[in-house]
Amino acid sequence: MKKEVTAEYMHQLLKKQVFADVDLSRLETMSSDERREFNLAQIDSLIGRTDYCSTIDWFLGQFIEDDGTELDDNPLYDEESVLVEWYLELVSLGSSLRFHHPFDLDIIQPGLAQHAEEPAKDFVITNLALISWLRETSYRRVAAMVARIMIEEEFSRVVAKDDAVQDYYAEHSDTSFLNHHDLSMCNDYISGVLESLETVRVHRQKGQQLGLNDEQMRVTDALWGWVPHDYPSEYVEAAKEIVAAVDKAMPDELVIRSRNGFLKFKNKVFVKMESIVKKHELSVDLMDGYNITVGYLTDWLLRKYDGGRNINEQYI
Amino acid sequence: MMVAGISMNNTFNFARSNSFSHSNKLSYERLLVDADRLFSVDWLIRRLFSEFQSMLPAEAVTDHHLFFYSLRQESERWFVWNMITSHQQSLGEVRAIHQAFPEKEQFFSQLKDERQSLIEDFSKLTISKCWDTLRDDDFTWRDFAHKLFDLNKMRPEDSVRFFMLIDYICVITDVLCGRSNLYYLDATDEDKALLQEYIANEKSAPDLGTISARAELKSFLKEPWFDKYSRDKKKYTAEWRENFIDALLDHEQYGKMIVDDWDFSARNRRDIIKGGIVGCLKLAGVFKDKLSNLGLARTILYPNLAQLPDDKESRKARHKKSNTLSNYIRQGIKQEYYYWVDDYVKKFD
Repeated sequence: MKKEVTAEYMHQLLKKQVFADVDLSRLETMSSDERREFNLAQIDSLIGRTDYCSTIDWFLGQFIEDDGTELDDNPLYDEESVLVEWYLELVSLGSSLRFHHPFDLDIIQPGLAQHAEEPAKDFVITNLALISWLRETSYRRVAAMVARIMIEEEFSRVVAKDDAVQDYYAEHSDTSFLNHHDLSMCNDYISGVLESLETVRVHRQKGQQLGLNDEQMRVTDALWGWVPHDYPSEYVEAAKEIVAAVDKAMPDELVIRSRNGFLKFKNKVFVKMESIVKKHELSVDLMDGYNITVGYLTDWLLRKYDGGRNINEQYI
Repeated sequence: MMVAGISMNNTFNFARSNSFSHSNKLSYERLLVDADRLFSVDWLIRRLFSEFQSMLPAEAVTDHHLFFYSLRQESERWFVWNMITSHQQSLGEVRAIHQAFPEKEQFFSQLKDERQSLIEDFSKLTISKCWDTLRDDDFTWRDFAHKLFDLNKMRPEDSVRFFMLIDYICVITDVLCGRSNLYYLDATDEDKALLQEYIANEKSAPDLGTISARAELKSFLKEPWFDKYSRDKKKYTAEWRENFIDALLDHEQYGKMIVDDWDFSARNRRDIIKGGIVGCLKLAGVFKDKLSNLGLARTILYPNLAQLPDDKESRKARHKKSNTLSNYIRQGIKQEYYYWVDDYVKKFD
């Protein structure tokens, strides 16, 4: 027979498993600043600890499901006390970090948030207050998780639009070996993320100063093969001509989009691109079976042909 | 602790979108599938070595223009130097694998696994994206060197890793394709004898393409029409004609071109080559003056014209054929080897 879980049991369980050596009686007398620092310190140590499984996962698992909904059978939700309130504060901050969701940055330090209604807009490289906090704070594990949210948000802006930049991020913010116990790894990860975001920002700014629009910059990247580069003049000229030629060759909006239609469109356009590339003497082989430039340009054409939809591998 | 670390890692990395683009995945697959070809860099090393030799004296000379020339080539020198110094540096690691797995099958499967993981690492480097654009001509490696040099300024550690990885992958590919003598270090005497025999056969084996082209062209020039129109029968003997064909087909540039043309074209297309050679000889002055192309073509095609039927249709067909050949003869002046033939004939005047 299953034992019924009482509120008292949950309190003791959490105390024993997670907060064994933390003095929780101070909570009632803390000021708001002290409490914020206390929360951050606790979350930081939770991320860094493992007791046969990740501690923060276990702690969150007592309160919420994986998709963020509240658990039905936790008796603490019915209780009203300072301690439970504090638990729930930790859960909300922890789950945002754990599932890489943007949150109100004022929770970690007042003054970081600039868009109270849309927290996603705060996780950008132009938010200088956030950048300096990431560089200086002593909670390195929390900072690594915040940097992770930044790069994830940037990914959601870039994926299926800007392939070259996506590959640059994927190369320079690799999480596959990131281990949150190791502070030096966390530091490397934070600096890697900030560096790559800054590099791409500067790269895009250069392109805008040359008077290029987004599409022309992307085609220049595709022709060169990667970002960043110095926008060589012959590549820029070729990209401008290619974008104009493709715009001209686009079928009417009323034409039904299909696989065969795309292949015809692609074959027609690639011949034009080849002549433009030859005219400007670029070291690009568009008639090769596959190389990265052909891949980038094909995906770009497909998205353009399909009206901005995500790429579907069936077509190619 | 280690196990716990890994579990933590996995839970934090269920990642939504943090990955490479579709094109980059295709690029990795291409490197993997076409590895035997893309990572065979014998030609590149040979080319770079000759470049390196030609670059060396340029530095010793202190002329101003040479100095600036060598400055402009800095990226190329850097690339050549790194490529050559890192060449076959990883041979020791492959030998270590060979010692651990002396049996051929195990050794090869180990090498294949190793190469796959190396290519996966390699494809994460930025420069790997244009590795498959390297071709066996003069320009592509220079572009590649400039791009790599630019990247080196931004991230020097990446280029060190690039030279290390590319050498390791290429050494493994050489062993897998049987081009390296590494595998034959421990070969038995029987194996060596077989190999010796194989090499000997390879050298003495007749090159079928050349022989058929040679024999047919020689017998073509020894036909009676040549003597009929020859300006000097004593000078342009049958032997002279044989030597001429030999010299033409042994020429490093034109010989290969003609033989390739001969092998890959249909029987009637070979008339173009024959006509071209005859046209060159005619322009060089081997035949009599005031000889028309059409008359020459007619004699070549129909040596015994009198015995052929004389009705209207067959005459028309004959005219068409000889007209075609005379056109080919007229195009002798357009052939690439025209000046060479001219010089060759003038040598005997």
